[in-house]
Amino acid sequence: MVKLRYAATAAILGFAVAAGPVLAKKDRSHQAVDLDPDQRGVVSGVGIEGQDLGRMADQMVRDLMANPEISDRATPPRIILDSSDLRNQSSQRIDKDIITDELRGKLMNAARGKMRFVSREFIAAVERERALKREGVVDTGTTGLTRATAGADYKLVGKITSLDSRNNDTGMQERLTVISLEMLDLEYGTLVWNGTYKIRRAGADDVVYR
Amino acid sequence: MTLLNRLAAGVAAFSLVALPIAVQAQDAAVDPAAAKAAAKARAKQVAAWKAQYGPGPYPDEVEAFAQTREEKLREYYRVLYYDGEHNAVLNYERLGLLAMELGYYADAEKAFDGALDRIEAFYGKDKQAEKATSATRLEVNKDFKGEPYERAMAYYYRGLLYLRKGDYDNARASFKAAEYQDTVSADESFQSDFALLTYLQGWASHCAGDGSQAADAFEQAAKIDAKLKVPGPNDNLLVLTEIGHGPVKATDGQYQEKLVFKAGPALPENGAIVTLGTGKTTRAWPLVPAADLYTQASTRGGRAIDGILNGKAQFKAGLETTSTVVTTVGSTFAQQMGGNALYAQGIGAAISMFSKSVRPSADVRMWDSLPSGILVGTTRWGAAPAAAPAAKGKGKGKAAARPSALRPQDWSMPPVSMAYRRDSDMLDLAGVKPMSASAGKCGIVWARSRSVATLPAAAPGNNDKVALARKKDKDVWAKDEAFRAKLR
Repeated sequence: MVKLRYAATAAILGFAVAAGPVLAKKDRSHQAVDLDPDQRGVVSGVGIEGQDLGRMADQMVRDLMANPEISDRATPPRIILDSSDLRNQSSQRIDKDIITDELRGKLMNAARGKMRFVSREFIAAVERERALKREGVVDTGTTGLTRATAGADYKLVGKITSLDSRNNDTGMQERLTVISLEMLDLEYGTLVWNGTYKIRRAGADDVVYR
Repeated sequence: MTLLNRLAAGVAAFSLVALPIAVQAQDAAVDPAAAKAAAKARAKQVAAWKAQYGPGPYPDEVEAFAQTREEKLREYYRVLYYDGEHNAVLNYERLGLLAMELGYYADAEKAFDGALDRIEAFYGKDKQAEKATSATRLEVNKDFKGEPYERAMAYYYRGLLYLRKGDYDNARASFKAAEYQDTVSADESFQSDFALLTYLQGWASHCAGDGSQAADAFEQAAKIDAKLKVPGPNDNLLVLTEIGHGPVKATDGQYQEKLVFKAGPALPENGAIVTLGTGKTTRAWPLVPAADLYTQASTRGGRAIDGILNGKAQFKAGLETTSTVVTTVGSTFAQQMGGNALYAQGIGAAISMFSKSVRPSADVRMWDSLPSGILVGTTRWGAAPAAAPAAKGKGKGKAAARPSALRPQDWSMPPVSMAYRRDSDMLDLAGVKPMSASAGKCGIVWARSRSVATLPAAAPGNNDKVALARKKDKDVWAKDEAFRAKLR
């Protein structure tokens, strides 16, 4: 009986010694960490996530740059690229600016002067400054005065749509999200470019949450 | 006395002792003995809190956080901060609704976003989920994510807040997601039967100018509930009011292993009349009943975890039966064989004790501030702009020119009041002050017959022992600390 006790104690001690480093190595902290915005995050669902934005913008920029009607004109076209005509018809709440801001940033870098981007979001600031210049309160700056602010040739428009499905037996949820963007000719009303980005994602909660 | 009551008492006590300690500390700048005494008093206080609240958070930390929030919301923020991730969804939902009622819309938006972010994220197999399925642990160990009707209502309120701001796209997304929660029903006839949510999708589309989507949604809503008529093509004002108290969660079965829903306490109001404007412009009409929360809660069908709880209950019943058999039959047999009956009784008692440790009780934490019913109505408000002229020469016999849609600058929200009634009898019930706003093409009025401000800050159904035990788990503690860090 005594031998058995010694053996049990030794086994427990042995396990503790062996498991100690493993347990010590296990990271128990949940402090803030830096994550790659182009990689999947630690919290995820079936909707559009951070990593999708970068990939989508990369694909759309490649597509747009390959379109000669937009990227290969003698005079760089003027484009409005904001979220004012991007409709969210999906089942995901989203700040649409995050999509257009990402796209505009990457497109500006890639275009290298082959496209000009017109801001309408901050036109009030432009108008204020123009008024100050014309009233002589401030000088004309380094580029001089123009008769009017820039008119645009194209505008980015589009839709975000989604299709949700669920298997109630397995608890599996699935969502197909389609981001469809188009470049609208603001004079003729024709569409000169269309790009579609699809995300299909599925997942299920643990059984206790279903 | 619940843990949270004790925490509240702790906060009060902290407030009383904080001033003298602060004064002492100030004096300590010139008196080392006083500084030592203050440090000692502080250490003593922390030791007392540690005994009471485990690793924390302690009243001073909770109070420092709460002081940064609106005074009328502080109690709810204290609970949110203290409970951590365990009840985050529930606490956010209750806080969001209170903030919405009191007019703190930024708080309400953040709170519902906090709840919905968690509802949308997949909760994998973590320790707490495993505990909830363990035979000897309660279901309440899991982090609260709510039943489908509760999740749907979180989306519903977020959608209303989007409507308030004129963000019709995200409002529609919220109502769509809310309806999706209703597809979880086991019985197909109850899937997507929350007609109001479909109707509100239509309203958001109507306000966003998506006519065909709006028409589809209104048609679908009317198919589910014929009372929901299609709004006029130029209606620009949505009125919603909520009446009564929502469904109550309870347990049933031999070991409380079944989660059941009961209708909330009976209250007199079953209808409402909205009055808009003043003087000659006054317009009043009864709102249409559009949703019954008890029906939504009780038609969901079985949950996946019900099978696990049922298994626990059967295991417990089996142990109890075995204990009885071993104790009575075993004792008798032992006595007949000339043996000692105490052995059999001891084994029976041990099995009985083990059976007591099996815990099949269902989780009854609930969003208690929900209403029992929602009433709805729409109208066109504002002076009608001149109708577009009919085409010359072809006007006669053709459809009359319709009034054009109002632009946001053409109208403003009228004064609103709500009167509640039981059938045709008016009640002496003022309800809460309506939320009334127009930020885009459309306006919204939202009211409630019963205030949520009278409810305690802590949600019902929580288990203090489980909550305290969670704090001893380092992983859970770290998760809760990260949650609190994000709140601060």
